[in-house]
Amino acid sequence: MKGLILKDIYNLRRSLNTFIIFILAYSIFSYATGNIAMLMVMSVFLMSSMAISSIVYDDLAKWDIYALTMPVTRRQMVLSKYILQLLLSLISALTAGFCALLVTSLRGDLIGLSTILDISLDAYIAFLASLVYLSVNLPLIYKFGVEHARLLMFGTLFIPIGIIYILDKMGVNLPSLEDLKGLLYLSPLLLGLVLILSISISYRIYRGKEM
Amino acid sequence: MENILTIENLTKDYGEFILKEVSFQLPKGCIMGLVGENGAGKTTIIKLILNLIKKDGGSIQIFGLDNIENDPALKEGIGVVLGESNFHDNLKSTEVSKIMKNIYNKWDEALYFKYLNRFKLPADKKIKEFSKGMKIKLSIAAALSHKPQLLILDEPTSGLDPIVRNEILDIFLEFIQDEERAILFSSHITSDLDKIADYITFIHNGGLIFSQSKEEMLDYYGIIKCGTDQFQLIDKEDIVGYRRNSFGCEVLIRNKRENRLKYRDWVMDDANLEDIMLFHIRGEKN
Repeated sequence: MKGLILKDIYNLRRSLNTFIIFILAYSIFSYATGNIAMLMVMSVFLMSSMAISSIVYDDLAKWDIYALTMPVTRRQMVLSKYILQLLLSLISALTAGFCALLVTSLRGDLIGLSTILDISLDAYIAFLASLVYLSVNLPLIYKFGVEHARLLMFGTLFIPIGIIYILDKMGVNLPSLEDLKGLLYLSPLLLGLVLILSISISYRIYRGKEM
Repeated sequence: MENILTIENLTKDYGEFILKEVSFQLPKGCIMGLVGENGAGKTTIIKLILNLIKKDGGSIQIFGLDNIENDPALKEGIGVVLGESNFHDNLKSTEVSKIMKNIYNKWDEALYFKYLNRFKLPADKKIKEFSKGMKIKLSIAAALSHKPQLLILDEPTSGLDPIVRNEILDIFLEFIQDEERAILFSSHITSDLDKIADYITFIHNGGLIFSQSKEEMLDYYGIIKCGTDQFQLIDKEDIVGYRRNSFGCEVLIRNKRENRLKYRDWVMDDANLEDIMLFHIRGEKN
């Protein structure tokens, strides 16, 4: 399993370098405008597609058929992608959070407990979103292949936004962020459930795949 | 002689293509050539051995153990080269070692770098800069560096020039010096198998034509070159296949030794693997 994740990290090296350049550029932008929320959202958004990129690279090299001739189980193949994304999302959330704090302090704004809490919350929500995005899309990719799943992935991103927009236009009373705060305490549990469900669906699909 | 690989009545039904009840054994210390035209079922057999696809019948034992029940532990003892390099273009050969070290328990880094040296493969270049020959050599180095007992090669020499091919065949002959090991080598380059194979397993249209030692095979088949009139005199039972040309007929005959006496006034040549394949597949039958 460690070998599989190492392989992905080597392959994503260039994208990770791009991520570092991006986060530096965005930090400067945030410093100039004072808007740090975008820094958090964009950095985690960029990182959230890394596991999917790694599957594109694997497809190009016809890696899976080769990897399964090694002492590697299909379960490990699937699990390695989730662990990779968990690691990358964690790193990007922490990096973005740290940069946001740095930008705030450089701007001379006062950093109190509430600022730290706000930034941590933003980082945490971005982290959650990236893993939910992966959990929805990875089973689709295993089922339909990266090429065919692209359109569906576009759908999984924009259909929920569209529904919320339409409901809002129709005058449906949507819960405010304040109302959702209660959910925050439950979120680690919910995320765990979503991940377990997604991993088991992905594995079920991948287990039956003929190479 | 103990078998490293035993296949019995192996069946896979793809609908439009069926691998039909194929059985053969690969003994220790031997190189087996798996031959057949493209689409005959060679790769299907290799995929079934490696549990990459599901079989519809039969059994496969590797080192005396069922290949599905003991997957993936069995794979510690198997080295595989598929027809191409399956390492990502952006990796370097040093990184391949770091990855493999974390996959195989018995990965021997020193041995791997010894092979890289011998194959003159640069450690610091990306694989995308490698030629096709270099990529195959890298795959072979990777397949050998965890010291497998069984090497499975799917068309490893196709598309390579004769010099690289010979170099690679030498490596396989070296590997087999240890009598505990064996190689299963699928190819349609029959001259490569003429050089190194001890056993030949011949697959055609998903069925097994024969699986026997190369010596036995060469001893069994012969070619008679004769005129059309003479051809009529050959016992139909003795003919595997024949080809007509402007000079007369070429006939692949079975039971060469016995038939040498029967057709003693005729010219009977030895048949090589390519002849045997061609007459079986393309030769006219009675």
